[in-house]
Amino acid sequence: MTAMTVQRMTRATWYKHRFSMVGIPAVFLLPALALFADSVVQRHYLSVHHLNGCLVANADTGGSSCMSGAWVSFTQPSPAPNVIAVAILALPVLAGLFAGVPWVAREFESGAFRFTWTQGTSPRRWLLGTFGPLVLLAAVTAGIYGAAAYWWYQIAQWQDGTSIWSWRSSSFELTPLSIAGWTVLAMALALLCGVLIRRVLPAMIAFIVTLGPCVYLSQTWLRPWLFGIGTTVRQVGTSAGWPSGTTTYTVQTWLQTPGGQRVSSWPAVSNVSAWLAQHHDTSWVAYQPHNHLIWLELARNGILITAAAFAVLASVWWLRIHPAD
Amino acid sequence: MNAIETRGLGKRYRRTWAVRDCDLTVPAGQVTALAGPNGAGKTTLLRILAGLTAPTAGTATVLGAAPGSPQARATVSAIDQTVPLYRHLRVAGQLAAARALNDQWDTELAVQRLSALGIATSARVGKLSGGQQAQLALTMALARRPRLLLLDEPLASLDPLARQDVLGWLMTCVAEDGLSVVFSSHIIAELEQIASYLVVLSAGRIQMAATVDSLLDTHLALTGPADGVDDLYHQVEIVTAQRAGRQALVLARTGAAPPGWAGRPVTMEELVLGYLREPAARVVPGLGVKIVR
Amino acid sequence: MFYLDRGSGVPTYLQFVHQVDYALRLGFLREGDQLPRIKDVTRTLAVNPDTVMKAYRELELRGVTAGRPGVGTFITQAPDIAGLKQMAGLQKKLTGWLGEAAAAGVDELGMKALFTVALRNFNDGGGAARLPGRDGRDARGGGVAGGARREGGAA
Repeated sequence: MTAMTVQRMTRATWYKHRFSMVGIPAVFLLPALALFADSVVQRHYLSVHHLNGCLVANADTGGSSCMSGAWVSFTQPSPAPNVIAVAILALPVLAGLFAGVPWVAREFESGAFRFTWTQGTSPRRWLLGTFGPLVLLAAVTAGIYGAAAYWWYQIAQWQDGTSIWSWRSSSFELTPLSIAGWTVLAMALALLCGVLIRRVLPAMIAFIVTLGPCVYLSQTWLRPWLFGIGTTVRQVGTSAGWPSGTTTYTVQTWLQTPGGQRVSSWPAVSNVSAWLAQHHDTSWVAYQPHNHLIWLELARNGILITAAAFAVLASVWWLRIHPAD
Repeated sequence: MNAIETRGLGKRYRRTWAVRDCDLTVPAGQVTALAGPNGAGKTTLLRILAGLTAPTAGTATVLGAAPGSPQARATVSAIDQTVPLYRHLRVAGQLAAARALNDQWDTELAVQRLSALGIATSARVGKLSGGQQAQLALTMALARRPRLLLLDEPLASLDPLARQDVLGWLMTCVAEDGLSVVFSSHIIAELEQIASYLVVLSAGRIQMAATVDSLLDTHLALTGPADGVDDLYHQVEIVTAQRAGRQALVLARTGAAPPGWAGRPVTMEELVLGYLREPAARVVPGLGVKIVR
Repeated sequence: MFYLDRGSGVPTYLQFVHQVDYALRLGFLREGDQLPRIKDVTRTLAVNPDTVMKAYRELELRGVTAGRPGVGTFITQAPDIAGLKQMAGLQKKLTGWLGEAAAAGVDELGMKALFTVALRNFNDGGGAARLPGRDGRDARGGGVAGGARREGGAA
């Protein structure tokens, strides 16, 4: 596609999808603004009460102000942060459902594609040229939204009554990369459903049915599998302690007998270290250190985007073998 | 260059062939009428030529290019039976989108014609009447400055005055710009008025495809005694024979009336209806005008 | 100035030819007048431009008009006055025949049938060569045959 054509297709897309092209940024940027504003308020509260030093994993090092009533009321457990976190993550899905699916499916359902395909553009050019602006717009605004969510969650994670852990699901997903990655995948799946099914409502159902398993698989299989790659192995006991519970992800722990055999279960005794010293066993842990987090995030979201690319290619291929009817 | 060339063109939907074994050679500069009953395959044929559907069998070219190819898209305008438009847009947005999608666009023509028709640019396309939507679609199709225009029952929603006006405009484009037109219609009066080439489709097959002049030159309507029809079969090529009491009216491919029969030139209506009544009669191009049973 | 008579069965281009002929006879068209341009006719009547071109070519063949490239088609000759006089005489004879037929009890349809049969026999019997404007389409007898064609002389 020449630069001239890209510009023209974008212009045509603007005329046809004006509502969505304004709506999608609004849908991402308004909540981003709300999250930003809320976090500003929280951060102000913290600085006013000199609580910034308490925002560390080990509260003992925070100082006496961390015992104050202000801190206690600040960290009062509340379901709100989790609910909001889920709502934040639901937004890319909703955007894909209500903006992404109709983007293509409606043009098929209304028959307007018969107009588009008898103008100067081919079906493939139409598909890519109309999808390109959509996914670009969605990805960029979702990234901004993700940044606001990340910034908000930095503070909000202290308020849900659970311990801080940078490898938690919500910590992993509430980042610009993850939210943008899910948004891109959602839009690509929406495109594929629209091209395969060509009726808005059935395509929406198909979208939910395909995205749901993707989310589930990412959670239960993809992330654990990724986290198991490139772990750091460390012997625990003598000088080195266990890796930090707040910044690392433990993949596996085991005992090693003097004969080199691995045993994964711990002896059920009261003084474990004495027992271990007595049997000359060493304890080991395989974990992901904190500095691996960014790479794993890149990897996971790279996989999402690759899957999105496959969905787009599948759409183009399907369109070629089933143009009209 | 021929406006349309097809060889063995066929399109199958599941188990039925909508169009089958179509061999067509339509020269450029003609106004071609595609006639046939509903369900004959006119829409399918036009959609294949417009590049909206891929054929199951055979080949087709429009103005020397494959349907749906960039050259075809640049020179061929098509309006589908459903009059596709962006119905959620206003007319101004629809025009802007069309201009963005096309290399060649005559803005002046579009604007002038729409204002002459009284279609406001701020009106919503979906709220226009059927006739106005057809006019909008036609205006845009011609603003692309095509060399071939494919129309599927384009005048169905127009009132008689609008129909005359549109036909007049189309004929002027034919006269001035050498535009080729292919339009389908099952209103024979329309065909009589403007067609110079006739294609008759019946149950997905082409019964005849030839210039109107050659068809009218080579056919006669014969009247004579009903009991003479059987003998007549040996003398001339009969398309259809209708008996009414002691008289018979026969559509025949012949230059002169045989003795005992009165012959007069056929009208387009008699010609088309005659062939449609006898689906087995087919004219094979290239062999001259012959009737194959 | 042209009009279409759709139900008549006469081909459109011949209708135009006849209409020019009538206009000449009635004096609406005179020598040197320009016929409407093809694209104006196609626009107002919505007919195929080939049809109009055919009509104009036929008129040129009959010597009624001549085309000037880039300008238009012009009338080159007015109908023959002598021809008109002959017409009057023929019509008088015909009226006489009609009177005879009526006296014999033949009604209008009978008269038409008689005339049609006689005309057909005349055509088939070789008298066709002397019938002006003869071609298969005029055989139906619609309209007066041809304009003023000078027999045996150049137009």
